[in-house]
Amino acid sequence: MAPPDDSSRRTAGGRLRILIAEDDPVSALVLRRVLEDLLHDVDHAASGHEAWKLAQTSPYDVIVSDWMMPGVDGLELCRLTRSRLEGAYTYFILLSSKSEREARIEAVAAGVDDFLAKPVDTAELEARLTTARRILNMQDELRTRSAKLSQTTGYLETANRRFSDLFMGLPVPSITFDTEGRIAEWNRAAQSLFDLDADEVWQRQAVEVFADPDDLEWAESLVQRSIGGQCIENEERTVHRPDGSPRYVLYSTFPLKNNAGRIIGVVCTCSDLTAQRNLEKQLAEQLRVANNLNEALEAGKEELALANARLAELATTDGLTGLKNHRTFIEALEPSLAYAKRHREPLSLVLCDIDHFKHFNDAFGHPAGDALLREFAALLSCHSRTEDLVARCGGEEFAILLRNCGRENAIGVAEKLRAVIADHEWDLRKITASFGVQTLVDFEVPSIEAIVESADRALYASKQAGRNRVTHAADLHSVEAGKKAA
Amino acid sequence: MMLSEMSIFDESKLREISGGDRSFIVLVLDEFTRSGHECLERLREAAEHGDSEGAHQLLHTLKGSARTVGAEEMGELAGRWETRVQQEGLGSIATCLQELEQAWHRLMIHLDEQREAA
Repeated sequence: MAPPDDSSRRTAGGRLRILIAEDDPVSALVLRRVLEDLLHDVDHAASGHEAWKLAQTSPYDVIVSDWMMPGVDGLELCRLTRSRLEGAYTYFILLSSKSEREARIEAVAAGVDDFLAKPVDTAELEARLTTARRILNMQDELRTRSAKLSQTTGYLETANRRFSDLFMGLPVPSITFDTEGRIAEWNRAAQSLFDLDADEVWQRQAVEVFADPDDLEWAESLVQRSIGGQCIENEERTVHRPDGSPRYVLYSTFPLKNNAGRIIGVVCTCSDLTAQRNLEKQLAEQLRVANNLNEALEAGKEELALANARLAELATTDGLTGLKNHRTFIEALEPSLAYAKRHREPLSLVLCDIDHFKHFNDAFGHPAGDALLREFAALLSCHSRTEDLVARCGGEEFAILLRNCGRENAIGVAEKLRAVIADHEWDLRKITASFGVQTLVDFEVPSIEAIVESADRALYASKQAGRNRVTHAADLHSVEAGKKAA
Repeated sequence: MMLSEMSIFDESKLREISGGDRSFIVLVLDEFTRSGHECLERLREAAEHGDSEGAHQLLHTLKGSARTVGAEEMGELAGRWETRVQQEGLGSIATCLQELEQAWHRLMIHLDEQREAA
């Protein structure tokens, strides 16, 4: 409702809109003349009913009404006027010759503002209208203030509701408590964090609600420091919800003050770090598992290296005798040959074969043959230099590569081995072996095959000459040359 | 004040109200003559119909208009009968009518004389 536009009636000379309700035409005529002479706008209604109709369509500042009228009388007209809640105030003057106390009390109760005796005295009427103008101005002022107050109250209510909505909807769990430490507000995020509804915690001591029972000392300290005016920043605690689940919470507070600057409460935000802390824990656990896996992997790698080494060993070793196998021996020949050539060092190859091994096998069986091979191999190993390579080339044939070893030394080594074998005390019967030796002397030997072949021919020669002997390939040439010459 | 001591008509009130505006005084007196006459006729009808409430109301109106124009004797007489009818009903209404009509007659003569004098 807009405040009434009644600036005109506030000034002393302003025109008032006046309605005369009077069934006596003579009195109405005279009253109208008096009021118009006082420069007011005047309407006349010849009955109370007509007056009420006029007043409803166009509100008047003042109604001057006769008391006694047929139908709607002055009192009823006044009651009807007062029943109209909206619009500006109407000042009601009742004309009457009635002077009884009870009648006047009834009139005042009906809402009559003033009385005027009939016949009307002009000076008195003017004075009563001055009073009416003052009352109307006060009523207008009251209405204006009331409208402003109503508007301000509306603004305040809107602001309050908006703040309340904002506070309740904040994503950060937030609570307020008064200077006695009692909870005043508790937003939805706080309800969710602590798993407690606002009506469960309202007016309870904050310390009992937002901290564990064994953490009361800290909680009371937080509340007291905050009420004392401190701004608390980021104090982390663990708090347990009613179902026992832990929550990791970061507390911050700041004091609430009134217009005079006095502290009237505290705002406390409780950031939920639970998800973050759980992630950190998960991460730490995963790191620990990864470390364990890594350690296991390192251990596995070592085992694998050992296994690989063992596998490599197995691949290069003869399973029966433990000597290097034939393939390894051939592979070792090439670099040894190259080294000898480059450094112009002598290199000798000794091949040996157990005499009559087939007969031994036939006589004593394969297991005994295998045992013989093992013992034979052990003797070769035992009586060779560490830098020499001893290998089993297959069946009962063995080879020894003698690095940095010339013809005479090689023959000496072979002869020593032959004697060791021949002199060894064998379990079942005497065992001998035949030896063929070749030495790389002119460093022009074209291939491994050639060396092996010539050593093999020397071994064959030893066999042909009756076994249990050593033949050097170089001697073979001279013998053959001698044979050819003869 | 006794009725016999009252003047039939005191024009000073109308002069005061109108500021001596003669035409307004004439206008008011013409209206008073018309409405007063009508009032007396209606009072007679109310008496015939035994309508004491209507009679009381009419006497009140007649009293008000008479006092307003300064017809003091008429106003006082109407006022007395208003009170009596309210208290006693229509028991003496014939006397009332007679007295009022006589007073009204005197008043009309007085006003005619004044008009002629003016």
